[in-house]
Amino acid sequence: MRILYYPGCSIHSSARAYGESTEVVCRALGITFEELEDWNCCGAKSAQLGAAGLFAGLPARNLIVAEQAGADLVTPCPACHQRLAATRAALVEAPERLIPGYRGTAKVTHLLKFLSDAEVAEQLAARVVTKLNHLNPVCYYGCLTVRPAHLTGYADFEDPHDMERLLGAVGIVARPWSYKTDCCGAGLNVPRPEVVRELVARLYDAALEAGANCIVTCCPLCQVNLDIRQQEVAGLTGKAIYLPVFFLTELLALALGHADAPRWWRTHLVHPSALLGGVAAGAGAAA
Amino acid sequence: MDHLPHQIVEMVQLGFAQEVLASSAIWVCTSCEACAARCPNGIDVGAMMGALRKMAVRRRTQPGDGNIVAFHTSFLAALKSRGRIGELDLVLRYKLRTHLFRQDLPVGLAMLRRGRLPLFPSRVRRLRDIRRLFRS
Repeated sequence: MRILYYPGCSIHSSARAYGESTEVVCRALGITFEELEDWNCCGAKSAQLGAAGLFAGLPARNLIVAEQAGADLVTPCPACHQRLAATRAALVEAPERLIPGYRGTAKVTHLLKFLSDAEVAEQLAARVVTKLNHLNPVCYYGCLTVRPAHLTGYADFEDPHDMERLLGAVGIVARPWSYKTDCCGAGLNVPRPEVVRELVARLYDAALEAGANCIVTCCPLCQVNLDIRQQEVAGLTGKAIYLPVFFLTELLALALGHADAPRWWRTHLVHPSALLGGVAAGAGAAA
Repeated sequence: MDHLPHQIVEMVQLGFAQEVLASSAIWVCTSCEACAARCPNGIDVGAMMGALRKMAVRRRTQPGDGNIVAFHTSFLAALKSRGRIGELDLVLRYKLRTHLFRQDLPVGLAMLRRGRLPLFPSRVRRLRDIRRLFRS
C-alpha cells in the first residue's frame, strides 16, 4: 500500500524531532511513506485573508498531486490535516466542478488516526525493547487533532484515547486528565505570547494535578508552545515546573530501542534527560 | 478578548457591524473549533469568525489587534516567497513589520541553537503555481 506523506512546513524545522521520529517508527513497522512531490504550504489560517483563490487553492494543489499519484495522504500536522480534508470535502461537495476532473479520490488522514489501527498497536507491543514505565504522561491532543469531528473522524472528541492506547502498547501508562483538547494558543505564540503563557500555564497545572511527569502530544505547534513557554511560566508563577514535552513518535521510537534518540532530546528546551535517566542515551537497544 | 464568542454572535444578529469588525475578539480567536463542537444551536462559530476576519481585511477596518494582523501578513509574504513557511523567515518578517526586535529573543536564540530554525529552509520548485494563486 503506497502512502503519500505531507509533512507540512514545521516538520523540517521546529518539529524536526517529530518528523525524524515518525520516520523511525514507520520504518520499524514496515510502513513506507513517500513525500508528496513538490508539496506546498497548506496556508493554515492566514490564507483565508489573502487573494480569493488562495484558501482553497493552496491545499488543492497538494490534493491534485496526490490524486494523480493515485494514493492517499497522511500528515503529522493537525492544522494541515484540517485544511487538506476540509478543502477536499468542499471540492467534492461543491455543486459545480471547481476543478475540472478532480474527484477527491485521495483521502487525507492525520498521523495519529493512521497509527491507531489495531495492527499497529500489536506490532509495536511485539517490538518493545526499552522499558519506559517510569514515564507517566498526560496525553495532549490539542484542538485540531480531534475537531471538527466530521473531518477528523473522532466520535469521542471530548475524551479521545488513541495516544493512550498506543503508549499503552509500549508499556507507558498515561494519566487521565480533563484538558486533553483545550487549546494551547496555537498561532498566537508569536503575536500574543502572553495568551499562550496563560493557556499553557493551565495545562501544566492540570498535568501536575493529574500526577504526570511529562506531556505527550501529536501536534508540532502544541509541542512548541508547551516546550518553549514552560520555563517562562515557571519563572512568572514561581512554581517549579518540569514537564518534558514529547512527540508521541519520539517515545514510541525510544521504546522500540532507537539508539539515536538523544539527537531529538537536544532540540527540546525542557530537556528530557533528567526524566529519562539512563534511558536517555537509548541504552537497552537490542536490535 | 473584548467580546466573548456568544456576544459576537449576538452582535452580528443585531447588526453591530463596525463594533464586530473592529473587535480584537475575532483576531484572538485561535480557530480551536471548540465553539462549533459544543454549540447547542449548531452554530459554526468558527466559520463565522473566519468570515468576519476576512470581511474586516476586505473593508480595511482598523484591526482590533494590529500584531495579530501583522503576523498573518508576514505569514502570507513568507508563503509567497517560497511556497512553504520558513519559520525564521516568518519571525524576521514579523519583527521588521512590528519593530518588536527584542521580543522572545532568549527563546528564539535557544531554538536556533537547538537546530529548530534552519537558516535555509526548503522551497517549492514550481513557485509559479503559488504565485498564480496569490493573483487569483
